[in-house]
Amino acid sequence: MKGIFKRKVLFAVLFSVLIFLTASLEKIVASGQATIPPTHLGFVDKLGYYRVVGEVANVGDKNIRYVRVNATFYSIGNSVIAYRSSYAMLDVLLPGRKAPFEIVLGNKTASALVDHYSLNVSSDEYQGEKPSILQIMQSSTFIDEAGFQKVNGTVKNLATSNATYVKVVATFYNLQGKVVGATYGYTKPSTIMPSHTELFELELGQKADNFSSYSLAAESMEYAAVSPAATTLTVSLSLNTTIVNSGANVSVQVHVDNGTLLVKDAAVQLVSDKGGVFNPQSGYTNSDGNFTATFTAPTVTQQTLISITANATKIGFIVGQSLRQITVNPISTPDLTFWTYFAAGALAIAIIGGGIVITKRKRRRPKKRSRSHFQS
Amino acid sequence: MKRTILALLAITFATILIVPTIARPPMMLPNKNTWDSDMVNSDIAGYTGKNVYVAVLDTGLVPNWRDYFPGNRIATHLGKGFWEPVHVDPQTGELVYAGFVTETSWVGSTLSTHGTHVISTIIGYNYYAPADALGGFPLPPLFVKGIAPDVTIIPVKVLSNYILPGYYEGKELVFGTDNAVAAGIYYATELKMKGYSPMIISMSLGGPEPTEVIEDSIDYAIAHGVIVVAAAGNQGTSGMDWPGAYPQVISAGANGWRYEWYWPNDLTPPPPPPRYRLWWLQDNTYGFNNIPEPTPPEDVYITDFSAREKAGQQLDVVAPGSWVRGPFPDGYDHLPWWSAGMGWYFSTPGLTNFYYVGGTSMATPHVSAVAALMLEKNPTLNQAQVENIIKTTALPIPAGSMTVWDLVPTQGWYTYPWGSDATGAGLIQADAAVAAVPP
Repeated sequence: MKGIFKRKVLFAVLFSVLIFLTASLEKIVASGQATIPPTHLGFVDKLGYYRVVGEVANVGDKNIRYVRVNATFYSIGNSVIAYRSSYAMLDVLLPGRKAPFEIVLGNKTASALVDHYSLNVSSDEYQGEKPSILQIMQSSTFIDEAGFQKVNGTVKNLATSNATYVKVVATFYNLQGKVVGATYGYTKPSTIMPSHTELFELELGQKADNFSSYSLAAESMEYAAVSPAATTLTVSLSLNTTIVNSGANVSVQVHVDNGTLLVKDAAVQLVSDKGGVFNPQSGYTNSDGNFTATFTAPTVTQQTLISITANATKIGFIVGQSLRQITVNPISTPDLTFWTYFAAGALAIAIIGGGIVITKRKRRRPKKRSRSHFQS
Repeated sequence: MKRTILALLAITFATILIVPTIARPPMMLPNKNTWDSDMVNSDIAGYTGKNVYVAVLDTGLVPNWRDYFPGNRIATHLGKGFWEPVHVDPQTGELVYAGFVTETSWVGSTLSTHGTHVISTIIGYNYYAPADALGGFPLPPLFVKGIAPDVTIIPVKVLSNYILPGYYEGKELVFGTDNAVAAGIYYATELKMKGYSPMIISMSLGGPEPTEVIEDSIDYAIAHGVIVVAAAGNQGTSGMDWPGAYPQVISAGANGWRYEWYWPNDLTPPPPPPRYRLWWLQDNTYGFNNIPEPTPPEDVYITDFSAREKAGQQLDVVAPGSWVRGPFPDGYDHLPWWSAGMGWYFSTPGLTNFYYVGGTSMATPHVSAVAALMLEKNPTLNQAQVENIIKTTALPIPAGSMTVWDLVPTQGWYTYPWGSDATGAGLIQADAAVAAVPP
């Protein structure tokens, strides 16, 4: 048992080290309009396979297809261990778009030897039309009974003809913005008629246990997704203070982007979980991706922690959300405080004064009469 | 050489009606046997498969499996899925196999119904279809008894959904690769070695040719005491599928019943539908759908799709594999109408949850379940012993033909001929097999 335990620990350590090394030693070669942003990640997965996940981007001004990523895996001594390649998960990549890729070295022995890797990408120009007309309407993540991460949602065909083989691609990112997993699947049914909406469900499986965000893209044989391709809106909510008195105003600033570029005309709605008033409560982001409002804190009788949520929506994007908390102090008006002190002072004076009078009277009156005095 | 293993699913039918929403029935339901359990005599075998594990290598379970099965019969903590990435090379149009498997969930999404139906034959299922009442045959909710209702099922998902544009007309396919199936076999064997024993691997799947990677895994499993059962295949006279055709594997062909879809007055001439929709339940209401003991061989026919044994192949036994009733919810589109799952939001509650399914896929769980009854009595039995007992106690089915009323292919009287190459040792008999097991 002890031996098994040690092996498990060693594996965990090895896993972390490999991520660090490969992230720092990779080498990228781009070709034509396709390039590989520095969001890729290499690691040994739970089954012992070395896996590289990342994205390819079309930085040119023409559609490209057959976007092929080639990986060369090296040992610590810089010897080539293996070559592997894979295609981007979207068949056609429009200008400005990204698509994930995944390359797995399906050999555990070789995987254990990998120290670093290099990537290069090639693509062909795609002459055909690929109108951006598929819309991912909504999506959500859940963990199934077996503990696997899944994403489901719906895709709508906004075209006037059928969309066939509607593929949905998901890219998962960690907090640092690295790609930690990617997967794809098809809607059911895989053909979507005009103006119809169909379901999809994707399984991430073992590829990423801990992701902080994900983006979705879709394409069919005929169409691409509405631009930008179903990225989750990133919402930044900021308040000019974190503590406020009852009834006081707070400046609320909301910024919306898609992870890279600001997003204008996103519908923003503000919500408080314990009252208060927003002015305005909803609106749209301006050309800078910003939306501002004023929050008037509610009147509370004890210190209260309020959660303020900003929801941002826009057609073609996945709903984004941000939450901030603010502490509201209870009622404490200066007048009330004054009269409180005044009353307390007056009472103290009265008691002290009364005490003096009583004492003086005690001195003047015989002890036996004092009782009657108190009785009157 | 790479190839795919296709799930065996020959014939499916569904009754599609829309009914009002009704409350979910209680879970403690009266038990009822079916024609197939009656025919293999599991109802009088005296064993239930207690303490025996059956790893069902198939499509996994539908997300709402608890609507059908008792929760304690599924070893969810042991469930596993294996999947090999496959894609069509966009430049060559050829299938490209990744060459490795990756783990997936055993919970399927869409098209995961095949495995659910297979499992229902082994352990039984909750059944209630108001369509029966609408059809003039009121039937309260009931629990359809399985062949071995007390076994522990381990769902091992090795068949997955693939859509491969440019391949097989781009149709949505459910299949597994050699590597995925072998991974499932090795996994079940590892469980057996860890103490989940006795262990049976039930494979309602097959492919057109033998492959080394799967045979190696089967030999490994058998060498470690695992019982391996597989479908014979649905290619009829074209011969058996593999791994069912391996001599070391216990293979199952598919038989039917003379009185399927029978209606008392329709011997001649055949009346038009509707038929007696409850024919599949063991019931004496109409005096005929309770198969006598011993099972009369003259009431048994061999389906035309059931694979015939060819040279170098071995067909061991046949078992019910035609018009086998069971849950077949077809993913989210057809969740049970009483389910509180997502199906409510996407589809009108319907009655497409229970299908009659035909194929050697359906015969296979009958054989696996009978093996479980035997292992309950004597957990030390090995593959050769189980195979020998099952074959020597089978009900011989002589070559012949039978004319039965059938919905497919004619919706009328149809004659099924078969030879001795279609029967193996005959129809599996649970009571006799268990009786022959040494204590």
